[in-house]
Amino acid sequence: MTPPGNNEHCLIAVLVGENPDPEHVVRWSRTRAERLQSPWIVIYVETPRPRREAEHSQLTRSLALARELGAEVVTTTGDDVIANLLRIAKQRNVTEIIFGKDRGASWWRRLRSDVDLRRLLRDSGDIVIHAVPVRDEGLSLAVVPRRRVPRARSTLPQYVMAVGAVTAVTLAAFVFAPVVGAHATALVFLLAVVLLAVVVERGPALLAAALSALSWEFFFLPPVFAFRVSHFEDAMLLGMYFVVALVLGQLTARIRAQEEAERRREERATALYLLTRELSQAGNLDQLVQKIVRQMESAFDTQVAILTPDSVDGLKVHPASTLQPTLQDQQALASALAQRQNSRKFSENLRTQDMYVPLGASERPLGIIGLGLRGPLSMHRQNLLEAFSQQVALAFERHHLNEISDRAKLLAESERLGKTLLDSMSHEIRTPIAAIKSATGNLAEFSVNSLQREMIGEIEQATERLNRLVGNVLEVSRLESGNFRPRLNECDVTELIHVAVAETEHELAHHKLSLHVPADLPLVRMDFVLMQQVLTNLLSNAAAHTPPGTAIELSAKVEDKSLVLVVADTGPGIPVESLGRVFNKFYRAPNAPTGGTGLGLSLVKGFVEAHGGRVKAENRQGSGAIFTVYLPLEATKTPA
Amino acid sequence: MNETVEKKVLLVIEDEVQIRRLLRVCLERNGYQVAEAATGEGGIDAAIQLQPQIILLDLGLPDIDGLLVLKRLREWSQVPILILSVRGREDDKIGALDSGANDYITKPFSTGELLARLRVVQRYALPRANPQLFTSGNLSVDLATRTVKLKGRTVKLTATEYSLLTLFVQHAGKVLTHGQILREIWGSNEVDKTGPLRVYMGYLREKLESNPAKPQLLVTEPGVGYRLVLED
Repeated sequence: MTPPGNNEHCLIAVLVGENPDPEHVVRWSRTRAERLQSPWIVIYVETPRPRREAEHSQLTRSLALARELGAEVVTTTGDDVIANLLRIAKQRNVTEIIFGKDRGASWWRRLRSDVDLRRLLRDSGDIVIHAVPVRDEGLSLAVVPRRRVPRARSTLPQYVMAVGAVTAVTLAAFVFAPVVGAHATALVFLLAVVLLAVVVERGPALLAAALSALSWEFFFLPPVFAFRVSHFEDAMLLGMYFVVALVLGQLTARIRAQEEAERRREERATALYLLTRELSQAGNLDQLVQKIVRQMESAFDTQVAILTPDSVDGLKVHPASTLQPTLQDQQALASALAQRQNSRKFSENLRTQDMYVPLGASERPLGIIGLGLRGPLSMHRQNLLEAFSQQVALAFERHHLNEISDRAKLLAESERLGKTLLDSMSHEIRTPIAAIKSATGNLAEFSVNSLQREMIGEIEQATERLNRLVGNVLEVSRLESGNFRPRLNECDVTELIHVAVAETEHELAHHKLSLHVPADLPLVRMDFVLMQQVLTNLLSNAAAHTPPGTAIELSAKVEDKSLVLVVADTGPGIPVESLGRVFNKFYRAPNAPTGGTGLGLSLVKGFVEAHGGRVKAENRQGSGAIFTVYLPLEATKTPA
Repeated sequence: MNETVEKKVLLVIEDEVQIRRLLRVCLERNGYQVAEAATGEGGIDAAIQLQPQIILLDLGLPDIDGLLVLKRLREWSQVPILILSVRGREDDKIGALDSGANDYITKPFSTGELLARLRVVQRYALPRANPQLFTSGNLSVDLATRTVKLKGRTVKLTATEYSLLTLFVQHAGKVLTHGQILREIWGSNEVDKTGPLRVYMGYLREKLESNPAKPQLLVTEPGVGYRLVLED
């Protein structure tokens, strides 16, 4: 025995079909399987024993429930439920079997259940047996009227055939009875009943037996033309007719039931095989749906609809569908799908008899299959539908995954292209700038007059500006390329501020910069280069938009688990109409001095947001602009 | 010491003909003998044939990656190599420094910057006359007696601070990447765990810089690492 908790080799098998509330057993087993974290299989052994309609639908529901709860469902056919259960259990190395012990109202069923359980206990070897008491609350069997499952074909011709056969034998017997004697004639009648029993079902066979017995007794057994049995052997012979007819009828019925089950299994296997073969060959979604519709139409002999989710809550009937659900039904289906209802409740709110099954796990439905129906589906058909819907769901899932991987490939390709483009842009544009800068540098070393020096100075300034512009444009496209990730590591904020200040020393030469940096600032995870550019851009922005001599303050502090960096000036401030737009790309305030690119502040915003932080621009009370950067201290999460 | 009198042979490995021409003009005017190669393979061949005293290497080459050229050169040569790089490519710089480049300069650069870098690279590539004594500006470090003096006054350093400083002294003038320092001093391979390094750099600056807010000795190379500046 495997102790609970060790799920390495656990496998739980559950028997359904032999108790009045299979759903209860299935749920009980799920709890057990979850506790052991073990896989579980639900076994249904189909016997020739006739089942009532209510029992059938209840079983189908339980099997569907079991599938939904994650069980594997195994159905098999056989006379002996327990033997078949144990056969499967041993094949699959089952460690525990859960058996629903019938504690319902019917004494006969209780007795049978106990016999089964005793056999199970005796023959199960090392397997642990759980006997779960089940009362017939799920379905009051006593109340439900006894109604046979409607037979597929009518038995009336068989009765006619039985009567005809007996009549024929009787007529023939009038010819040979005088020659062979009454007892040999009885054997001829028996032969006819045996032959008949092979062909017809139990009822007509019994009728033939009864008719033969009566006919023989009346016409051939002395005294002829009278119902009177004078010898004991004759009475025995009469009784034998019935026994033989009964046994034969039973036997042939079994054989036929098994044949039928075999045929259905083959049908199902063929249908599934055809479906999977077709599905594997489908290229795109439309082809896939067309093939599904065609295969399901031929398997179920009815119209088929495929619905796929189109937007958040909507559903779209695929044009290849041959069944057209009404708009009301579509809405009901869409809301059922949105509410993640499981498959059993799925078709409940519909106004038609048509059957709809959601595809895929209930957390993320991939679509819906609809079948046009005029009556309830037989259990075999329902099983087939379940199997089909699983295959279709798999195909949809595969298609979905293919799409995702295609998209990812495309994205990676476009990212690669983008990077190559950026790299070559960066190289191609910077090379001439480098050449100009180097050439003017060389030029300045020669002895030149003051006008020439001035011109060289102009070229150098323009080159510097162009270089900055190109740099900013490249940074913006890098930010927007989608694969931008800051390189986070622990940084010293004081160091960051000093580097940024040193970088802008030249631009801030005519301003009064004051720093307020507390000594106890923690190390902050950030991309040093990006944050340095943030501060540099804010500082040069302040320098560019305020007259010389203006005071600029740069301060840092920790507040609400954020690092707060503030650049404040006492200049004219930001025009109110521009406040909301200063971080926009290429936006320049109306009174902005020439020479800027309109990209600096948008880069500030982009870089800060890449760190998971935010930045805001305000006007100070009195006069001046104030830019505040908030950087979360655990700035490890970058927004997607 | 005949070599110092002769012109230094400088090999430029750069694919842009215009840049090569300009570098030649500027460098020849400043006393270098310039050789050129337009491809990585050509550069490696030229380095073997000419045995230059210094190499300027552009990372974006048409045939093979500049980083690969660097690695192949470093397999057999310790010649000072200065990398020409572009802004915003800190990873490239770190990769180049970790692969044995001596320094980098960001395009577009001015002639003055380039010449200064070249001087520094050559200077620390030379064997020092007095290897146990190091001086730069006001700082002097005696590796034999393990004494650190600032303007002649002894500075007390902790063990970690001292080994950090020694590492810089051994590579004076050269940029040390965060990764290199972390590996040498802390034996760590987690390149993004720069916390202790930042803290100790702060301590060292407090003790050695005249104005820790504007470091003159131990300067930050943003996104790359630190450099101990060589001053006469």
